[in-house]
Amino acid sequence: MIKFRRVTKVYQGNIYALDDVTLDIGKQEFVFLVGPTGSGKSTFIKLLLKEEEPTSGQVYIADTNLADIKKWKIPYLRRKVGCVFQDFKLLPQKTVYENVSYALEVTGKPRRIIETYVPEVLKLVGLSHKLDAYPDELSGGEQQRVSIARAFVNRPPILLADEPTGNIDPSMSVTIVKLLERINATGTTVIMATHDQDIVNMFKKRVVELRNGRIIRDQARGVYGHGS
Amino acid sequence: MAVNFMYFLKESTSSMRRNMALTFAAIMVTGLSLIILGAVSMLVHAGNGLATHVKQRVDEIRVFLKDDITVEERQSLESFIRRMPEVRSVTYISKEEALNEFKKMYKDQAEMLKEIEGNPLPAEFKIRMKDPKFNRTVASRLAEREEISVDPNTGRKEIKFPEDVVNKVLRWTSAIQRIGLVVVIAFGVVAVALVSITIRMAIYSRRKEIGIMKLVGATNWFIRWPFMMEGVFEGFIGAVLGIIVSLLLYSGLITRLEAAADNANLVSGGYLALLSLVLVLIGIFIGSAGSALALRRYIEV
Ligand SMILES: Nc1ncnc2c1ncn2[C@@H]1O[C@H](COP(=O)(O)OP(=O)(O)O)[C@@H](O)[C@H]1O
Ligand SMILES: [Mg+2]
Repeated sequence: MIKFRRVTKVYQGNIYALDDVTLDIGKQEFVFLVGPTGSGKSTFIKLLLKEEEPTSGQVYIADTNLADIKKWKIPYLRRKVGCVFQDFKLLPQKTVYENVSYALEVTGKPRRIIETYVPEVLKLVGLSHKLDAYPDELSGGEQQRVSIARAFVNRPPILLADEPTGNIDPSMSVTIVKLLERINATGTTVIMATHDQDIVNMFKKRVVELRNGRIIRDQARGVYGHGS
Repeated sequence: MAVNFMYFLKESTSSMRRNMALTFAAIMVTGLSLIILGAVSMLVHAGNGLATHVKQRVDEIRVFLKDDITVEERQSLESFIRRMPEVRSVTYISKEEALNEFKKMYKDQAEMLKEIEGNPLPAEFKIRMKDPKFNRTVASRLAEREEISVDPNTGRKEIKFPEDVVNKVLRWTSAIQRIGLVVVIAFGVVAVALVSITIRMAIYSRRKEIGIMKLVGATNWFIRWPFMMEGVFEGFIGAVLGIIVSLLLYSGLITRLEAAADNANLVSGGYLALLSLVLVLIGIFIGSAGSALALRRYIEV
Protein backbone atom coordinates (compact mmCIF):
# COMPACT_ATOMS: atom_id res chain seq x y z
CA MET A 1 0.00 0.00 0.00
CA ILE A 2 2.72 2.43 1.06
CA LYS A 3 6.33 2.20 -0.05
CA PHE A 4 9.27 4.42 0.87
CA ARG A 5 12.33 3.84 -1.28
CA ARG A 6 15.59 5.39 -0.03
CA VAL A 7 13.72 8.55 0.92
CA THR A 8 15.76 11.48 2.15
CA LYS A 9 14.30 14.82 3.08
CA VAL A 10 16.67 17.69 3.69
CA TYR A 11 15.22 20.97 4.90
CA GLN A 12 16.85 24.31 4.46
CA GLY A 13 19.86 24.60 6.72
CA ASN A 14 21.05 21.07 5.86
CA ILE A 15 18.62 19.47 8.29
CA TYR A 16 18.18 15.78 7.49
CA ALA A 17 14.60 15.21 8.64
CA LEU A 18 14.53 11.81 6.94
CA ASP A 19 17.69 10.01 5.96
CA ASP A 20 17.60 7.08 3.51
CA VAL A 21 14.31 5.62 4.68
CA THR A 22 13.09 2.44 2.99
CA LEU A 23 9.88 0.91 4.28
CA ASP A 24 6.82 -1.11 3.18
CA ILE A 25 3.43 -0.87 4.85
CA GLY A 26 0.79 -3.35 3.69
CA LYS A 27 -2.92 -2.92 3.26
CA GLN A 28 -4.84 -2.97 6.55
CA GLU A 29 -1.72 -2.63 8.67
CA PHE A 30 -1.63 -0.55 11.82
CA VAL A 31 1.77 1.05 12.39
CA PHE A 32 3.10 3.13 15.27
CA LEU A 33 5.75 5.55 14.10
CA VAL A 34 7.76 6.38 17.20
CA GLY A 35 10.74 8.47 18.12
CA PRO A 36 11.61 11.59 20.06
CA THR A 37 10.63 15.08 18.92
CA GLY A 38 12.57 16.07 15.84
CA SER A 39 13.19 12.50 14.70
CA GLY A 40 11.23 13.01 11.45
CA LYS A 41 7.76 11.58 12.17
CA SER A 42 5.80 14.61 10.94
CA THR A 43 7.98 14.84 7.86
CA PHE A 44 7.16 11.20 7.09
CA ILE A 45 3.45 12.07 7.23
CA LYS A 46 3.84 15.25 5.19
CA LEU A 47 5.50 13.30 2.41
CA LEU A 48 2.49 10.97 2.26
CA LEU A 49 0.15 13.98 1.99
CA LYS A 50 2.44 15.52 -0.64
CA GLU A 51 2.74 18.59 1.56
CA GLU A 52 6.48 18.16 1.15
CA GLU A 53 8.52 16.56 -1.63
CA PRO A 54 11.39 14.15 -0.90
CA THR A 55 14.85 15.52 -1.64
CA SER A 56 15.73 12.11 -3.05
CA GLY A 57 14.06 8.70 -3.21
CA GLN A 58 10.46 7.79 -3.97
CA VAL A 59 7.23 7.55 -2.03
CA TYR A 60 4.52 5.26 -3.42
CA ILE A 61 0.89 4.89 -2.47
CA ALA A 62 -0.83 1.94 -4.16
CA ASP A 63 2.03 1.76 -6.68
CA THR A 64 1.70 5.39 -7.68
CA ASN A 65 4.84 7.44 -7.26
CA LEU A 66 3.67 10.61 -5.53
CA ALA A 67 6.21 12.59 -7.54
CA ASP A 68 4.11 11.75 -10.63
CA ILE A 69 0.94 13.26 -9.19
CA LYS A 70 0.31 16.65 -10.75
CA LYS A 71 -0.23 19.57 -8.44
CA TRP A 72 -3.88 20.00 -9.41
CA LYS A 73 -4.50 16.33 -8.56
CA ILE A 74 -3.24 16.63 -4.97
CA PRO A 75 -6.79 17.22 -3.65
CA TYR A 76 -7.79 13.81 -5.00
CA LEU A 77 -4.83 12.25 -3.20
CA ARG A 78 -5.91 13.93 0.05
CA ARG A 79 -9.37 12.39 -0.28
CA LYS A 80 -7.73 8.96 -0.22
CA VAL A 81 -5.45 9.79 2.69
CA GLY A 82 -7.35 10.92 5.77
CA CYS A 83 -5.39 12.82 8.36
CA VAL A 84 -5.67 13.68 12.04
CA PHE A 85 -3.47 16.12 13.96
CA GLN A 86 -2.51 16.89 17.52
CA ASP A 87 -4.37 20.22 17.36
CA PHE A 88 -7.59 18.76 15.82
CA LYS A 89 -7.88 21.53 13.20
CA LEU A 90 -11.64 21.93 13.67
CA LEU A 91 -13.50 25.04 12.57
CA PRO A 92 -14.67 26.82 15.73
CA GLN A 93 -17.72 28.45 14.14
CA LYS A 94 -19.11 25.17 12.84
CA THR A 95 -20.94 22.53 14.85
CA VAL A 96 -19.75 18.95 15.20
CA TYR A 97 -22.10 17.88 12.42
CA GLU A 98 -21.02 20.72 10.14
CA ASN A 99 -17.33 20.11 10.76
CA VAL A 100 -17.76 16.58 9.46
CA SER A 101 -20.24 17.29 6.67
CA TYR A 102 -17.83 19.99 5.54
CA ALA A 103 -15.32 17.39 4.37
CA LEU A 104 -17.98 15.94 2.08
CA GLU A 105 -19.36 19.26 0.87
CA VAL A 106 -15.88 20.32 -0.03
CA THR A 107 -15.43 17.29 -2.25
CA GLY A 108 -18.77 18.00 -3.93
CA LYS A 109 -20.73 15.04 -2.55
CA PRO A 110 -24.51 15.15 -3.04
CA ARG A 111 -26.70 16.03 -0.10
CA ARG A 112 -28.21 12.55 0.19
CA ILE A 113 -24.79 10.99 0.68
CA ILE A 114 -23.85 13.64 3.21
CA GLU A 115 -27.04 13.09 5.20
CA THR A 116 -26.37 9.35 5.46
CA TYR A 117 -22.62 9.30 5.97
CA VAL A 118 -22.23 12.02 8.58
CA PRO A 119 -24.57 10.63 11.27
CA GLU A 120 -23.13 7.19 10.60
CA VAL A 121 -19.54 8.18 11.15
CA LEU A 122 -20.42 10.32 14.19
CA LYS A 123 -22.14 7.29 15.64
CA LEU A 124 -18.98 5.27 15.01
CA VAL A 125 -16.91 7.75 17.07
CA GLY A 126 -19.61 7.89 19.75
CA LEU A 127 -20.73 11.49 19.34
CA SER A 128 -24.29 11.01 18.10
CA HIS A 129 -25.54 13.01 21.07
CA LYS A 130 -23.35 16.05 20.35
CA LEU A 131 -24.15 16.82 16.74
CA ASP A 132 -25.05 20.45 17.44
CA ALA A 133 -22.27 21.22 19.89
CA TYR A 134 -19.43 23.57 18.94
CA PRO A 135 -15.78 22.45 19.27
CA ASP A 136 -15.06 24.67 22.28
CA GLU A 137 -17.92 22.98 24.16
CA LEU A 138 -16.15 19.62 23.82
CA SER A 139 -13.30 17.96 25.72
CA GLY A 140 -10.02 17.38 23.89
CA GLY A 141 -10.85 13.72 23.45
CA GLU A 142 -14.23 14.53 21.96
CA GLN A 143 -12.71 17.10 19.60
CA GLN A 144 -10.20 14.53 18.42
CA ARG A 145 -13.04 12.09 17.76
CA VAL A 146 -14.76 14.73 15.60
CA SER A 147 -11.50 15.19 13.76
CA ILE A 148 -11.22 11.40 13.23
CA ALA A 149 -14.82 11.32 12.01
CA ARG A 150 -14.01 14.04 9.51
CA ALA A 151 -10.91 12.21 8.30
CA PHE A 152 -12.80 8.92 7.97
CA VAL A 153 -16.09 10.11 6.49
CA ASN A 154 -14.61 9.93 2.98
CA ARG A 155 -13.73 6.25 3.63
CA PRO A 156 -10.06 6.77 2.76
CA PRO A 157 -7.93 3.64 2.30
CA ILE A 158 -5.24 5.28 4.45
CA LEU A 159 -5.56 7.19 7.72
CA LEU A 160 -2.61 9.14 9.09
CA ALA A 161 -2.51 10.40 12.67
CA ASP A 162 0.24 12.76 13.81
CA GLU A 163 0.43 12.63 17.61
CA PRO A 164 -3.36 12.39 17.91
CA THR A 165 -3.13 11.87 21.66
CA GLY A 166 -0.64 14.66 22.26
CA ASN A 167 -3.22 17.06 23.72
CA ILE A 168 -5.41 14.50 25.45
CA ASP A 169 -5.39 13.03 28.91
CA PRO A 170 -4.20 9.38 29.10
CA SER A 171 -7.55 7.70 29.69
CA MET A 172 -9.08 9.40 26.67
CA SER A 173 -5.97 8.56 24.65
CA VAL A 174 -6.78 4.88 24.93
CA THR A 175 -10.28 5.52 23.56
CA ILE A 176 -8.82 7.41 20.63
CA VAL A 177 -6.41 4.66 19.72
CA LYS A 178 -9.15 2.06 20.12
CA LEU A 179 -11.15 4.08 17.66
CA LEU A 180 -8.25 4.07 15.21
CA GLU A 181 -8.04 0.32 15.74
CA ARG A 182 -11.70 -0.07 14.81
CA ILE A 183 -11.18 2.03 11.70
CA ASN A 184 -8.19 -0.16 10.87
CA ALA A 185 -10.46 -3.20 11.24
CA THR A 186 -12.71 -1.86 8.45
CA GLY A 187 -9.75 -2.24 6.07
CA THR A 188 -8.08 1.13 6.40
CA THR A 189 -4.32 1.33 6.72
CA VAL A 190 -3.48 3.36 9.84
CA ILE A 191 -0.18 5.06 10.59
CA MET A 192 0.04 6.80 13.94
CA ALA A 193 3.05 8.95 14.82
CA THR A 194 3.47 9.20 18.59
CA HIS A 195 5.94 9.35 21.40
CA ASP A 196 3.41 8.11 23.93
CA GLN A 197 5.16 5.02 25.36
CA ASP A 198 2.23 3.62 27.34
CA ILE A 199 -0.07 3.64 24.34
CA VAL A 200 2.44 1.89 22.12
CA ASN A 201 3.20 -0.70 24.72
CA MET A 202 -0.48 -1.36 25.36
CA PHE A 203 -1.61 -2.00 21.77
CA LYS A 204 1.23 -4.23 20.57
CA LYS A 205 1.22 -3.20 16.93
CA ARG A 206 3.99 -2.93 14.40
CA VAL A 207 6.46 -0.30 15.61
CA VAL A 208 8.78 1.70 13.35
CA GLU A 209 11.25 3.74 15.32
CA LEU A 210 12.97 6.81 13.91
CA ARG A 211 16.03 8.54 15.28
CA ASN A 212 17.54 11.55 13.53
CA GLY A 213 15.61 10.68 10.42
CA ARG A 214 16.78 7.07 10.22
CA ILE A 215 14.79 3.91 10.91
CA ILE A 216 16.55 2.25 13.79
CA ARG A 217 13.94 -0.44 14.45
CA ASP A 218 11.01 -2.05 12.63
CA GLN A 219 9.29 -4.65 14.76
CA ALA A 220 6.00 -6.50 14.45
CA ARG A 221 3.89 -6.49 17.64
CA GLY A 222 6.49 -4.28 19.24
CA VAL A 223 6.77 -2.03 22.25
CA TYR A 224 8.10 1.53 22.48
CA GLY A 225 11.62 0.32 23.22
CA HIS A 226 14.12 0.90 25.96
CA GLY A 227 16.84 2.84 24.28
CA SER A 228 15.08 6.16 24.75
CA MET B 1 -25.43 21.15 -7.74
CA ALA B 2 -28.16 22.76 -5.65
CA VAL B 3 -26.31 22.03 -2.46
CA ASN B 4 -23.12 23.40 -3.96
CA PHE B 5 -24.69 26.64 -5.09
CA MET B 6 -26.16 27.24 -1.63
CA TYR B 7 -22.79 26.48 -0.12
CA PHE B 8 -21.00 29.03 -2.31
CA LEU B 9 -23.67 31.65 -1.73
CA LYS B 10 -23.49 31.19 2.03
CA GLU B 11 -19.70 31.43 2.03
CA SER B 12 -19.63 34.57 -0.15
CA THR B 13 -22.22 36.54 1.76
CA SER B 14 -20.88 35.74 5.22
CA SER B 15 -17.41 36.75 4.14
CA MET B 16 -18.70 40.04 2.73
CA ARG B 17 -20.45 40.83 5.97
CA ARG B 18 -17.16 40.42 7.80
CA ASN B 19 -15.38 42.98 5.60
CA MET B 20 -18.27 45.39 5.40
CA ALA B 21 -16.38 48.68 5.06
CA LEU B 22 -13.94 47.48 2.45
CA THR B 23 -16.63 45.72 0.47
CA PHE B 24 -18.64 48.94 0.54
CA ALA B 25 -15.67 50.93 -0.76
CA ALA B 26 -15.02 48.43 -3.54
CA ILE B 27 -18.66 48.49 -4.61
CA MET B 28 -18.76 52.28 -4.51
CA VAL B 29 -15.68 52.74 -6.66
CA THR B 30 -16.81 50.07 -9.11
CA GLY B 31 -20.18 51.80 -9.14
CA LEU B 32 -18.57 55.19 -9.66
CA SER B 33 -16.53 54.04 -12.64
CA LEU B 34 -19.62 52.47 -14.18
CA ILE B 35 -21.71 55.57 -13.42
CA ILE B 36 -19.16 57.70 -15.26
CA LEU B 37 -19.02 55.21 -18.08
CA GLY B 38 -22.82 55.11 -18.33
CA ALA B 39 -23.20 58.90 -18.17
CA VAL B 40 -20.44 59.62 -20.67
CA SER B 41 -21.70 56.99 -23.12
CA MET B 42 -25.22 58.33 -22.93
CA LEU B 43 -24.19 61.99 -23.27
CA VAL B 44 -21.96 61.25 -26.22
CA HIS B 45 -24.67 59.16 -27.84
CA ALA B 46 -27.25 61.90 -27.27
CA GLY B 47 -24.83 64.58 -28.51
CA ASN B 48 -24.17 62.66 -31.72
CA GLY B 49 -27.90 62.06 -32.13
CA LEU B 50 -28.56 65.74 -31.58
CA ALA B 51 -25.93 66.68 -34.16
CA THR B 52 -27.40 64.51 -36.90
CA HIS B 53 -30.84 65.69 -35.95
CA VAL B 54 -29.80 69.31 -36.28
CA LYS B 55 -28.02 68.62 -39.56
CA GLN B 56 -31.16 67.11 -41.03
CA ARG B 57 -33.60 69.59 -39.70
CA VAL B 58 -32.17 73.04 -39.55
CA ASP B 59 -32.95 75.07 -42.62
CA GLU B 60 -31.43 78.37 -41.60
CA ILE B 61 -28.20 79.99 -42.69
CA ARG B 62 -26.79 83.24 -41.38
CA VAL B 63 -24.89 85.80 -43.42
CA PHE B 64 -22.94 88.60 -41.75
CA LEU B 65 -22.75 92.04 -43.25
CA LYS B 66 -19.92 94.50 -43.60
CA ASP B 67 -20.14 97.38 -41.12
CA ASP B 68 -19.76 100.09 -43.72
CA ILE B 69 -22.59 99.29 -46.14
CA THR B 70 -25.43 101.74 -46.74
CA VAL B 71 -29.08 101.10 -46.04
CA GLU B 72 -29.72 100.93 -49.77
CA GLU B 73 -27.05 98.31 -50.29
CA ARG B 74 -28.54 96.31 -47.44
CA GLN B 75 -32.05 96.57 -48.81
CA SER B 76 -30.88 95.58 -52.26
CA LEU B 77 -29.26 92.46 -50.80
CA GLU B 78 -32.42 91.67 -48.86
CA SER B 79 -34.63 91.88 -51.93
CA PHE B 80 -32.07 89.84 -53.89
CA ILE B 81 -32.48 87.12 -51.25
CA ARG B 82 -36.24 87.38 -51.11
CA ARG B 83 -36.51 86.84 -54.85
CA MET B 84 -34.91 83.41 -54.61
CA PRO B 85 -37.55 80.66 -54.88
CA GLU B 86 -35.79 78.44 -52.31
CA VAL B 87 -36.09 81.04 -49.56
CA ARG B 88 -39.00 80.95 -47.17
CA SER B 89 -38.20 84.01 -45.04
CA VAL B 90 -35.50 86.53 -44.22
CA THR B 91 -34.93 88.23 -40.87
CA TYR B 92 -32.64 91.22 -40.44
CA ILE B 93 -30.77 91.64 -37.17
CA SER B 94 -29.02 94.96 -36.75
CA LYS B 95 -25.73 95.47 -34.95
CA GLU B 96 -27.61 96.82 -31.90
CA GLU B 97 -30.00 93.88 -31.78
CA ALA B 98 -27.10 91.49 -32.14
CA LEU B 99 -25.28 93.15 -29.23
CA ASN B 100 -28.39 93.13 -27.06
CA GLU B 101 -28.93 89.47 -27.75
CA PHE B 102 -25.29 88.75 -26.98
CA LYS B 103 -25.54 90.65 -23.67
CA LYS B 104 -28.68 88.78 -22.77
CA MET B 105 -27.05 85.47 -23.51
CA TYR B 106 -23.99 86.22 -21.39
CA LYS B 107 -25.62 88.23 -18.65
CA ASP B 108 -24.00 86.02 -15.99
CA GLN B 109 -20.53 86.94 -17.21
CA ALA B 110 -20.36 90.63 -16.35
CA GLU B 111 -16.54 90.61 -16.48
CA MET B 112 -16.52 89.51 -20.07
CA LEU B 113 -19.17 92.04 -21.06
CA LYS B 114 -17.15 94.85 -19.53
CA GLU B 115 -14.30 94.03 -21.90
CA ILE B 116 -16.42 94.78 -24.94
CA GLU B 117 -15.71 98.15 -26.44
CA GLY B 118 -18.22 99.70 -28.80
CA ASN B 119 -20.06 97.08 -30.85
CA PRO B 120 -17.85 94.48 -32.46
CA LEU B 121 -20.82 92.41 -33.62
CA PRO B 122 -21.85 92.53 -37.26
CA ALA B 123 -25.41 92.92 -38.55
CA GLU B 124 -26.79 89.76 -40.09
CA PHE B 125 -29.53 88.17 -42.16
CA LYS B 126 -31.10 84.95 -40.95
CA ILE B 127 -32.33 83.16 -44.04
CA ARG B 128 -34.73 80.23 -43.73
CA MET B 129 -35.07 77.83 -46.62
CA LYS B 130 -38.11 75.94 -47.74
CA ASP B 131 -35.94 72.84 -47.26
CA PRO B 132 -32.52 72.35 -45.62
CA LYS B 133 -31.17 70.95 -48.90
CA PHE B 134 -31.20 74.49 -50.38
CA ASN B 135 -28.72 75.82 -47.79
CA ARG B 136 -25.71 75.39 -50.05
CA THR B 137 -27.28 76.66 -53.28
CA VAL B 138 -28.44 79.86 -51.70
CA ALA B 139 -25.11 80.37 -49.96
CA SER B 140 -23.14 79.94 -53.17
CA ARG B 141 -25.23 82.62 -54.86
CA LEU B 142 -24.63 84.95 -51.92
CA ALA B 143 -20.89 84.44 -52.03
CA GLU B 144 -20.75 86.85 -54.98
CA ARG B 145 -22.28 89.75 -53.05
CA GLU B 146 -20.07 92.64 -51.96
CA GLU B 147 -22.22 93.54 -48.95
CA ILE B 148 -21.30 90.42 -47.06
CA SER B 149 -18.24 90.60 -44.81
CA VAL B 150 -15.17 88.46 -45.28
CA ASP B 151 -13.76 86.24 -42.57
CA PRO B 152 -10.21 87.54 -42.02
CA ASN B 153 -9.00 84.05 -41.11
CA THR B 154 -10.25 82.16 -44.13
CA GLY B 155 -10.68 84.92 -46.66
CA ARG B 156 -14.16 83.63 -47.44
CA LYS B 157 -17.55 85.25 -47.05
CA GLU B 158 -18.97 85.00 -43.56
CA ILE B 159 -21.86 82.65 -44.07
CA LYS B 160 -22.72 80.31 -41.20
CA PHE B 161 -24.36 76.95 -41.82
CA PRO B 162 -26.14 74.85 -39.16
CA GLU B 163 -23.36 72.31 -39.77
CA ASP B 164 -20.97 74.72 -38.10
CA VAL B 165 -22.94 74.44 -34.88
CA VAL B 166 -23.19 70.73 -35.36
CA ASN B 167 -19.47 70.37 -35.81
CA LYS B 168 -18.96 72.30 -32.63
CA VAL B 169 -21.28 69.87 -30.80
CA LEU B 170 -19.41 66.97 -32.34
CA ARG B 171 -16.08 68.39 -31.23
CA TRP B 172 -17.48 68.63 -27.72
CA THR B 173 -18.84 65.10 -27.70
CA SER B 174 -15.57 63.66 -28.95
CA ALA B 175 -13.69 65.61 -26.26
CA ILE B 176 -16.09 64.30 -23.61
CA GLN B 177 -15.63 60.85 -25.05
CA ARG B 178 -11.86 60.99 -24.85
CA ILE B 179 -11.67 62.50 -21.37
CA GLY B 180 -14.44 60.17 -20.19
CA LEU B 181 -12.58 57.14 -21.47
CA VAL B 182 -9.42 58.10 -19.59
CA VAL B 183 -11.35 58.76 -16.37
CA VAL B 184 -13.29 55.51 -16.71
CA ILE B 185 -10.14 53.49 -17.27
CA ALA B 186 -8.45 55.14 -14.27
CA PHE B 187 -11.44 54.47 -12.03
CA GLY B 188 -11.74 50.97 -13.45
CA VAL B 189 -8.17 50.18 -12.47
CA VAL B 190 -8.75 51.51 -8.95
CA ALA B 191 -11.94 49.46 -8.76
CA VAL B 192 -10.11 46.26 -9.73
CA ALA B 193 -7.45 47.03 -7.12
CA LEU B 194 -10.06 47.63 -4.41
CA VAL B 195 -11.97 44.46 -5.21
CA SER B 196 -8.67 42.63 -5.15
CA ILE B 197 -7.94 44.03 -1.67
CA THR B 198 -11.33 42.97 -0.30
CA ILE B 199 -10.83 39.48 -1.66
CA ARG B 200 -7.33 39.37 -0.23
CA MET B 201 -8.75 40.34 3.17
CA ALA B 202 -11.41 37.69 2.83
CA ILE B 203 -8.78 35.09 2.00
CA TYR B 204 -6.66 36.22 4.92
CA SER B 205 -9.50 36.09 7.42
CA ARG B 206 -10.29 32.57 6.26
CA ARG B 207 -6.77 31.22 5.87
CA LYS B 208 -7.25 28.61 8.59
CA GLU B 209 -10.40 27.38 6.92
CA ILE B 210 -8.65 27.29 3.56
CA GLY B 211 -5.89 25.17 5.10
CA ILE B 212 -8.49 22.73 6.41
CA MET B 213 -10.26 22.66 3.07
CA LYS B 214 -7.02 21.72 1.37
CA LEU B 215 -6.45 19.09 4.01
CA VAL B 216 -9.77 17.37 3.41
CA GLY B 217 -9.21 17.41 -0.34
CA ALA B 218 -11.04 20.45 -1.68
CA THR B 219 -9.89 21.33 -5.17
CA ASN B 220 -8.39 24.74 -5.70
CA TRP B 221 -11.36 25.75 -7.79
CA PHE B 222 -13.73 24.78 -5.05
CA ILE B 223 -11.76 26.93 -2.63
CA ARG B 224 -11.62 29.81 -5.10
CA TRP B 225 -15.26 29.84 -6.14
CA PRO B 226 -16.73 31.71 -3.16
CA PHE B 227 -14.05 34.38 -3.47
CA MET B 228 -14.62 34.63 -7.19
CA MET B 229 -18.35 35.00 -6.62
CA GLU B 230 -17.75 37.62 -3.97
CA GLY B 231 -15.79 39.74 -6.46
CA VAL B 232 -18.32 39.21 -9.23
CA PHE B 233 -21.10 40.16 -6.85
CA GLU B 234 -19.34 43.39 -5.92
CA GLY B 235 -18.90 44.21 -9.61
CA PHE B 236 -22.53 43.39 -10.28
CA ILE B 237 -23.82 45.70 -7.55
CA GLY B 238 -21.53 48.41 -8.93
CA ALA B 239 -23.11 47.86 -12.35
CA VAL B 240 -26.59 48.16 -10.88
CA LEU B 241 -25.57 51.53 -9.40
CA GLY B 242 -24.26 52.59 -12.80
CA ILE B 243 -27.52 51.57 -14.48
CA ILE B 244 -29.68 53.37 -11.92
CA VAL B 245 -27.74 56.62 -12.30
CA SER B 246 -27.76 56.31 -16.10
CA LEU B 247 -31.52 55.89 -16.06
CA LEU B 248 -31.90 58.88 -13.74
CA LEU B 249 -29.74 60.89 -16.11
CA TYR B 250 -31.91 59.73 -18.97
CA SER B 251 -35.18 60.74 -17.38
CA GLY B 252 -33.80 63.94 -15.87
CA LEU B 253 -31.71 65.33 -18.72
CA ILE B 254 -31.96 63.44 -21.98
CA THR B 255 -35.75 63.46 -22.11
CA ARG B 256 -35.67 67.22 -21.65
CA LEU B 257 -33.07 67.56 -24.35
CA GLU B 258 -35.28 65.46 -26.61
CA ALA B 259 -38.26 67.67 -25.85
CA ALA B 260 -36.18 70.73 -26.70
CA ALA B 261 -35.12 69.16 -30.00
CA ASP B 262 -38.69 68.78 -31.32
CA ASN B 263 -39.15 65.42 -29.57
CA ALA B 264 -36.31 63.80 -31.45
CA ASN B 265 -35.53 60.29 -30.22
CA LEU B 266 -31.92 60.84 -29.21
CA VAL B 267 -31.54 57.81 -26.89
CA SER B 268 -33.69 54.80 -27.68
CA GLY B 269 -34.93 52.07 -25.37
CA GLY B 270 -32.72 49.65 -27.26
CA TYR B 271 -29.70 51.81 -26.52
CA LEU B 272 -30.57 51.90 -22.81
CA ALA B 273 -30.89 48.11 -22.75
CA LEU B 274 -27.57 47.67 -24.53
CA LEU B 275 -25.89 50.16 -22.21
CA SER B 276 -27.23 48.31 -19.15
CA LEU B 277 -25.97 45.01 -20.51
CA VAL B 278 -22.54 46.47 -21.20
CA LEU B 279 -22.38 47.97 -17.70
CA VAL B 280 -23.25 44.62 -16.13
CA LEU B 281 -20.64 42.82 -18.23
CA ILE B 282 -17.95 45.35 -17.37
CA GLY B 283 -18.95 45.24 -13.68
CA ILE B 284 -18.61 41.47 -13.70
CA PHE B 285 -15.30 41.81 -15.51
CA ILE B 286 -13.98 44.26 -12.89
CA GLY B 287 -15.13 41.95 -10.09
CA SER B 288 -13.66 38.80 -11.54
CA ALA B 289 -10.42 40.51 -12.52
CA GLY B 290 -10.03 41.78 -8.94
CA SER B 291 -10.74 38.34 -7.48
CA ALA B 292 -8.49 36.58 -9.96
CA LEU B 293 -5.67 38.94 -9.08
CA ALA B 294 -6.05 38.22 -5.37
CA LEU B 295 -6.50 34.49 -5.86
CA ARG B 296 -3.57 34.09 -8.18
CA ARG B 297 -1.29 35.41 -5.49
CA TYR B 298 -2.79 33.99 -2.35
CA ILE B 299 -4.22 30.59 -3.20
CA GLU B 300 -1.61 28.97 -5.31
CA VAL B 301 -2.57 26.03 -7.46
N1 LIG C 1 9.64 23.22 7.34
C1 LIG C 1 10.80 22.92 7.96
N2 LIG C 1 11.89 23.66 7.68
C2 LIG C 1 13.07 23.38 8.29
N3 LIG C 1 13.24 22.37 9.16
C3 LIG C 1 12.18 21.61 9.47
C4 LIG C 1 10.90 21.86 8.88
N4 LIG C 1 10.03 20.93 9.37
C5 LIG C 1 10.73 20.16 10.21
N5 LIG C 1 12.01 20.54 10.28
C6 LIG C 1 13.08 19.94 11.05
O1 LIG C 1 13.18 18.59 10.61
C7 LIG C 1 13.42 17.74 11.72
C8 LIG C 1 12.29 16.68 11.79
O2 LIG C 1 11.08 17.31 12.17
P1 LIG C 1 9.70 16.56 12.26
O3 LIG C 1 9.52 15.78 11.00
O4 LIG C 1 8.68 17.58 12.57
O5 LIG C 1 9.91 15.58 13.46
P2 LIG C 1 8.91 15.04 14.57
O6 LIG C 1 7.53 15.13 14.02
O7 LIG C 1 9.37 13.66 14.82
O8 LIG C 1 9.08 15.90 15.77
C9 LIG C 1 13.50 18.61 12.94
O9 LIG C 1 14.85 18.89 13.18
C10 LIG C 1 12.79 19.88 12.53
O10 LIG C 1 13.29 20.99 13.21
MG1 LIG D 1 5.86 16.09 14.82
